[in-house]
Amino acid sequence: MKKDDFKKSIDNINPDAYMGNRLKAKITTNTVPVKRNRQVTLSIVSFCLAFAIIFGVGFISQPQTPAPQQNTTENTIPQNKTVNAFIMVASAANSESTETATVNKTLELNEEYPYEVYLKVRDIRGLSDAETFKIENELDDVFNKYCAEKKFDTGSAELCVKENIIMTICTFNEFKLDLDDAENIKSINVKNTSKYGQMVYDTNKPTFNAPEHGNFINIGWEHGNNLSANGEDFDFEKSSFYWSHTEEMEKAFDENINIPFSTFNDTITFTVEYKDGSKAIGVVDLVFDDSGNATAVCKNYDYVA
Amino acid sequence: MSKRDLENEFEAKYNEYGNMLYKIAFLYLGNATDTEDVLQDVFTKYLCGKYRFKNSEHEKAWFIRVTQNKCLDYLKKSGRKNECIDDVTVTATYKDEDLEQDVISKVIALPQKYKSAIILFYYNDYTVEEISKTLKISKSAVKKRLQRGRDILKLELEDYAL
Repeated sequence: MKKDDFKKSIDNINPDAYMGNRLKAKITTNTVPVKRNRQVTLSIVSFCLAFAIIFGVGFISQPQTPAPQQNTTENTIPQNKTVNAFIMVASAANSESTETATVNKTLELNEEYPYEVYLKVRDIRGLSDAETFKIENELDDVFNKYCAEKKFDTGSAELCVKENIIMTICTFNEFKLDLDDAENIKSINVKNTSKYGQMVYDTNKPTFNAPEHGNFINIGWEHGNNLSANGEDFDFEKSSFYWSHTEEMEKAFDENINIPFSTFNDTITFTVEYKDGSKAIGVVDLVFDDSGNATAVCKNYDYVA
Repeated sequence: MSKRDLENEFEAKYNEYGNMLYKIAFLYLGNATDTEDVLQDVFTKYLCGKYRFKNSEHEKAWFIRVTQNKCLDYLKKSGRKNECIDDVTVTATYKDEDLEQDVISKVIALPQKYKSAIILFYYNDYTVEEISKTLKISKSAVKKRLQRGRDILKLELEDYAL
């Protein structure tokens, strides 16, 4: 058998003309996640939450003891109470004190789905391509391992290969805005302070679930250090926020692999402005430990009437 | 990334690698349905992971390697060793010409570890060194696999010895 005959035979193996379109449709528009139970659970809890706090809005974050608040109203989370989330209650006239119960509900939700980031970097200077590939696979396995171990609603991994380093950054879960009275919201703003990170406003999720790992592909997103949306335009049913690294982080590691992970600590501020002029402000810290792991914690919450 | 951007990204990569990956996956799995499932996983992994590659060769090698691994996973999970191919499925997927059908059937029936080396060398015109880098095995291992795979194919296809 000659090589050309072999090629000629293999040439006859071809996908049908529509396979590309089928795959495209499945990958970009499929809306049935594998982890349906978690999605359903979340939806149910979200619905209960929205029902419980009429005209309320909640952000999800991570366990912490909230700092004492100044200039706050009765809607403030009680001091010295350990909570796993903070709630931003709207200024609507009938927003009476349901916040304690709401916090508890959100706390349960949050314990299951804390927002987490895992950062791993490996030095590839002087390594052969084969050795680099091996490291690449190992880092790929890191995400698979996390997926197997963790409870998560959404998750993603990014692998970046630079001249001197390979880094992988895995994120789990999201900051979700849960709202019942969108018509009372004037605007929403999300800022972060670090040049090594950015916020991603995910406007159309989840759209697809990778069968093996359960991570979603998110389509329709914006990103930056200062994101804003009009209340009227914000789709509270589908929208969420998550933190992502920037190329500055990749460059920083490429120049100095020993740069401390704490360099990448970030502070995220969520501000919801209502049509009556009041504002609810939540601040979340993302603090990396020495291993490159970070969990979002609620640093502050304020409501200004 | 907007939905349009995601679709464009998929189309670009599918147009570039889809055909090649389909052939590789089909030769592992032996039927169009499983092959399509595996390719869906491969492109999903790519789009989901936001991978960045050193260059186009690095990217191509990644796609080939991931496709091969996905196929092996698929076979493992389904409990198939793939030694027996459904003739009906195969016949329906390519031209019904004796030699070509036999070549494909025999390649599909090759032991898994010889397949990628054979396909990359004889179909994609990779050098031994390139196969070594792509599959992350030594050059001597590539040569052994080629030799053994070639011996099996020659033996199996002796009726068509050309």
